[in-house]
Amino acid sequence: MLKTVILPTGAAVIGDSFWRAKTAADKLPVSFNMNEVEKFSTEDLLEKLESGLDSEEARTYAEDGDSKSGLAAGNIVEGLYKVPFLAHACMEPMNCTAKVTETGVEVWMPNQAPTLIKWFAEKIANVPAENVTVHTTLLGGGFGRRAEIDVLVMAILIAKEMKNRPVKLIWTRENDIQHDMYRPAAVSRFRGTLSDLGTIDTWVNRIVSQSVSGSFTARLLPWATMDAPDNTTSEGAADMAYEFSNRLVEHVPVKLPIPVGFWRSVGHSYNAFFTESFMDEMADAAGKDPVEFRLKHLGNHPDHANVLKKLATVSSWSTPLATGRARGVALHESFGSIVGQVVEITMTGGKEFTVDKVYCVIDCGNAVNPDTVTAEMESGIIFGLTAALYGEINFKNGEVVNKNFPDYDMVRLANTPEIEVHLAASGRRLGGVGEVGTPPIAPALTNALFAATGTRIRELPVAKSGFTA
Amino acid sequence: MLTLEINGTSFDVDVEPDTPLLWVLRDTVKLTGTKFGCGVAACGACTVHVDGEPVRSCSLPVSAAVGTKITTIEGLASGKLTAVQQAWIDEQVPQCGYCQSGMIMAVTALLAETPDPTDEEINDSITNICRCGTYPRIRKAIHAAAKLQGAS
Ligand code: FES
Ligand code: FES
Repeated sequence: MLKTVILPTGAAVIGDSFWRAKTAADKLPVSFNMNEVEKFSTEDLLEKLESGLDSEEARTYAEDGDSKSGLAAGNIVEGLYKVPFLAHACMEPMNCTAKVTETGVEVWMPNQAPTLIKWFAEKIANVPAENVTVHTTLLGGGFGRRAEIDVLVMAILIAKEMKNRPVKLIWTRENDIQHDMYRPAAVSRFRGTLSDLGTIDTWVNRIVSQSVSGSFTARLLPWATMDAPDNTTSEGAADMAYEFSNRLVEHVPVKLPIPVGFWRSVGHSYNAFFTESFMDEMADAAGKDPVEFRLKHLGNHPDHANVLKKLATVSSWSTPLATGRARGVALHESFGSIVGQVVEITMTGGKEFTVDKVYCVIDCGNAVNPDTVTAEMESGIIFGLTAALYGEINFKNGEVVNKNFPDYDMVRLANTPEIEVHLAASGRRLGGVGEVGTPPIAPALTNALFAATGTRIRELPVAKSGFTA
Repeated sequence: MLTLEINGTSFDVDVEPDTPLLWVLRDTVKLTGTKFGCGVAACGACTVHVDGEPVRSCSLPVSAAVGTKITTIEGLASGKLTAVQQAWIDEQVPQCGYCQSGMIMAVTALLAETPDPTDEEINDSITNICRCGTYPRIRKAIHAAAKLQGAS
């Protein structure tokens, strides 16, 4: 062993190979001062989130009409939804190589934020900006995780103890799963009423979660105040295309001792599940077909309506499926692109099912490289499906319970559905494609499970309700 | 000192005998095409061939590989890409690419055993994780590689 380094957040062993260093690190007699975070578990965190549902501290992100009178005038349909914390689990575990000299620092790092990395390398190494070199290498998955600076800071602090030699910091998968900046857990309550025409009259939605922007800012700039409104908390809920007479969308920020970060599609990753599930509940309450019902609320949104109509055509939506099979639909706009998905499932006995096929239609304005758009849709769908089926990070006594892929499972070849992607480029402003395939898949799946079984799943992953694919 | 035969070349390595083969390949022999994903034989990113069999090298002590023929992603093609590698390009499979050396090694071993696998056989044998979700293209590329191989 070359050296042991004590860091503010742990200890590192420097060796001449990863395995020797890791073996020595495993034997270090380390104990952590857990103080105030010592005892919390997932249940405590969820309880805090749910208490936000009746908080006075709500921030309004969308308001049309008069929701109060709207609710008073109609029969209220209500739904309470929940999603858990999620890890990014990039295929390449976190790593960073740093070389600190008397006058400068050189960094080799797969990262999503080179400017930020360069700035922090300068601050942590405490060297002049012109003596900082950052090599941004190829990256084995990012999904938002590699916009963080934690691994950089550690690598430089360690390399400072071994001046003039490059030191490569490699995290194990256990480090990665247990020390992520997680997708926040969130709860969302809806109250809605229908008009005499069977369309939504009033839509009241309150979301409770931590603020990702606040958590991120606090990590980077601990001296800055971080109580500013955060549009990512309500994105996909406050800016939905659906037209209602009365609408109120609020978010209640809650502070929890969990670092949360940007996870592929950020707020859309949960708000799409919440809103598109409740749209389905309202369609059911109105006794309407889910596609027809959505179209009735898109009179002034022709691009959204086009995506949905095209989706209905390519998925043969109006042709009934064989007994035991069912489909669900979801439509969601994020990052300037409109994506609709239909999921077909087969119930194979009890609560067991297979996800057979996903139809996906995307309007991203113009597709510069159509094959890349298709690949990103496939990727986003599978990423979201992994979360919908199994994804949940849990805490016990202040520690993350999950450790590695055996207890943070992933979709694999055997349970990957057939995916058929259609481009419906309308020529509208260019939208993103990297994240937009992820949001609609969870509600499309749970809406299919509702169609198949009559059970409305209001909490992810579906495994929590006993459903397994 | 242990002696290993990797991609047809012999290497003397000075490592503890219980070191996983993966880390000997990456840190000692400097063949970094083989990737670390989990360290517990759960993802397949570290797949290499030991005497032609696909092995998750993160969980194989190097001492167990002495006297065998080890093939890594670097040793797969000789002059010309293999059918699997060609199919991977033709079907535009990789995204970040991190899982793909392990995928290609696992698929190469499958096709050596089962030249024209059914979807069922593919599901049973290719259990590697791809976090980017390239699975639909992997399936297509396996069938394409089977065709290419059959034609040559
Ligand atoms: S690193 Fe060997 S199976 Fe994951
Ligand atoms: S291509 Fe990124 S993990 Fe497979």
